[in-house]
Amino acid sequence: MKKNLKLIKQSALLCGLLYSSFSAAQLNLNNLQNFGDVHGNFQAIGQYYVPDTTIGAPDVPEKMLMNGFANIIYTKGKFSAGIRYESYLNALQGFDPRYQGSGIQYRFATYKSDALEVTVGNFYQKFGNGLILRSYEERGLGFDNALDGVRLKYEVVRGLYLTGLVGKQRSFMIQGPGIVRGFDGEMQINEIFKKLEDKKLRFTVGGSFVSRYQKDEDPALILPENVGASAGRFELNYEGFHLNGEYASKINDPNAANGKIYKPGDAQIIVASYAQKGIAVSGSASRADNMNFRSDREASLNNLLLNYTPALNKNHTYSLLTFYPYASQPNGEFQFSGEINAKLIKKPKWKMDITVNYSGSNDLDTTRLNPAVDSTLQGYTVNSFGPGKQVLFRDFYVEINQKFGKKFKASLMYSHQIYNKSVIQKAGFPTIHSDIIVADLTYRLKGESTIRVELQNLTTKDDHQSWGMALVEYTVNSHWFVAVLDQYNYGNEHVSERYHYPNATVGYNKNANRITLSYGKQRAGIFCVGGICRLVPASNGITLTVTSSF
Amino acid sequence: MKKLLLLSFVSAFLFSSCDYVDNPYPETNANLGDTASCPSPSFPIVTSHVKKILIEDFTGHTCGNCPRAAEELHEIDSIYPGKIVGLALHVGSTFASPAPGYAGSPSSAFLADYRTTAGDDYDAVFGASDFGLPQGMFNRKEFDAVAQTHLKFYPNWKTYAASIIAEPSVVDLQIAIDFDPTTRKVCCAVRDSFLTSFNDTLKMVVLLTQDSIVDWQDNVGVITSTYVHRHMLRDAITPSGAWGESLVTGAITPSTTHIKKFAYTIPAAYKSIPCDINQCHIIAFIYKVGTREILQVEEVKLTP
Repeated sequence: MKKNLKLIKQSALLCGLLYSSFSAAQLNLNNLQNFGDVHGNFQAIGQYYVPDTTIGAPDVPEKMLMNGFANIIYTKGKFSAGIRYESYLNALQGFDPRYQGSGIQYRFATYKSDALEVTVGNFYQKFGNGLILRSYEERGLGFDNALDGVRLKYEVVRGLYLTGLVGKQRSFMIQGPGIVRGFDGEMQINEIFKKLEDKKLRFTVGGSFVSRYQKDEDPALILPENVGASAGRFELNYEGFHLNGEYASKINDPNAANGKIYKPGDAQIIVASYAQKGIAVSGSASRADNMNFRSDREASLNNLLLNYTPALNKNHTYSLLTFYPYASQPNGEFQFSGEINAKLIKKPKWKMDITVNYSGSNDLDTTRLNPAVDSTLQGYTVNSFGPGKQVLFRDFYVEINQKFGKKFKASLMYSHQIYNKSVIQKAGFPTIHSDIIVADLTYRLKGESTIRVELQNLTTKDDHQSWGMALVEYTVNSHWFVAVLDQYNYGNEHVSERYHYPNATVGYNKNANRITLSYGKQRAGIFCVGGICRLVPASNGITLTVTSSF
Repeated sequence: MKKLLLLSFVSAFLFSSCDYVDNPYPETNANLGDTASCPSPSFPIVTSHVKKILIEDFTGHTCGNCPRAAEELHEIDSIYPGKIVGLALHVGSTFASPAPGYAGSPSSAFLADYRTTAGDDYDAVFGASDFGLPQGMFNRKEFDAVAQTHLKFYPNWKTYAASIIAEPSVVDLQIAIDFDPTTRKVCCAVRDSFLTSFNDTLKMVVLLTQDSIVDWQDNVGVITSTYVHRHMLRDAITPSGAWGESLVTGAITPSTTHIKKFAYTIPAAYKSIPCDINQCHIIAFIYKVGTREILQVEEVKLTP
């Protein structure tokens, strides 16, 4: 599925255009030899669509769609500058259609002089865990909320770092209406005090503040034009032990995502882990209450998000394990996660390790206020700090990896998941309970040639019931690989809708270039990275992907 | 020291960037005039006490099945003449957003946005657009406490209407209108007169509707430009919006009456859709804050 989604490329015209701009850039730089380095990367994914009414693949009027981009970065000593050219002609199915057209959507220049670093143009920035600010990009999700403005970073003394920024956020091909101001300070205690420099206990504290300005144009309500959020955090390390916690709060921020309520918001996260030879244990918990923070109060879905409440559940990569993925719910969630990882056999030839993870999320313990008496539009009240009764997500997961000599290794996974579709996706659906088993077997033939088989099964009585999947991947040598897979909805409640979703892929790698071509069907589903998700519609067609770096 | 000064200056600037709002509502709504210049209303004596039913129809212009529900409402109205008040609310983003070029129509079609702040407020609580349209409510009665929803599916509407049509009236409502077509200012006085005793918290809501707007609609798969949109909610006249003004808190005895006065200036258009004063109606209703059930509803036409 990962490969299906990483669809593929095309558009000779665009490549031509990009190539000509590259050669122009290189030409100039050749004249300036020894005046710096240029590096970057390029990717283009082109997909040709065939309508398929049985699986619900829509008729795409353009027949072929393409997403492409190239990063070109110039560095010279303390100075660096770069651009990203992006092209959506038109955006692939499943990406927001507001990605449309081509242009330089990202450009920046940075200069670092001793303790001061100045950036003008676009930049990404995260404060702490991201509870009040995370501007980042995830190309596979079509997520990019880069800031455009000015950022200063200043190292006051060794171990004391300040960051200040002002900017506007990217919203697809334009900018959002809100102005974002942010400030962050971090103290690495062991670096500041010479006496503590060599101590095993390492301690860091930090604090941040973010404020958004957006004009109030609502005739019916008085909206706060300046909405502030602040956060404090700490981190400590002692040998194999690590602990990190953060608290954040936000003042009244009525917005489309929280139903225009004026209740303040808050969020907490704590993450602890301990590792020593052969065993690692970790645990985390977080809580978010009305923490949907955006640079445009009217924005929805993944548009113009300013902050991020991390999803703590186990990040899976196998298709059927990610069938019902959790998306973090900043409006109200209480999450937990615990994991043990142990190496049971350490002999290199017969290495065996096991991972057990249990994670989940509930809603909060709240009472909705009757709108007829809620004259200050608080929306709801929180009864207790702890979790509410409604389960949003659960995942009990066991993974065993075993090597059998030099040639063969196997991974076996089991997961039981509970997925509250009504809350995570759309109201009016039953909660889905599923059991998933995955086996991943790799056999090394000779040289770099390997054969890999994935067998997956998902059993559920809910939604469209049970699915199976098989994949065979043959890596011919370091350059070529082929893979075929089939997903089969063998348990569908309507016998006539028990469809197969076959897919075949050929890939070629050489140096920094990679080309893959695949043909097949893709089921409609959700694709997530770190708790941020997008819907992918069903499709049937050919996908070509080209990636390259220089 | 300089650094410290700079730092405190920066943080002072940033920390002041917070607007705390204690009362979200502006002092006056732009359309709301003052009632001081309104003439004193006169109300005729009520001779028969009839309980009326407000049927709310959550709908949208690209909702193909919605005209079936509108038709159902029309039929119920003709079965119980004079006892039904209709109210159509365009809600949600799926079926009620502007959709130029919807289903092969010209790009000038389906441009209208008939959603209203009041309609959105109701939808946020009753969740109609989340459940899918069309949806209806009958005096916002629960009927079935187990179902935990006020929303009723249109094929069953006649059954719900029949089951409450004979309920006795508990309060009379009268609306007196004074309208100036030049300034488009409407003075509206609502008189209630309780017929039984109550111990409850009650509120009053006054809404403006516009009838017979001809515009595009997906009519059960047929895309038409000449669909007649009936009983369209346009705005709330009560100053605090969709959830209205406080009327009663606590005990009340029979024959208690109140007169509430409101003034409102009707704009020439709502979201670029002209508001024809000759098609406007005023709806007033009283509801229980706890269960949201409507006790009585009344409707009058704005112009003779």
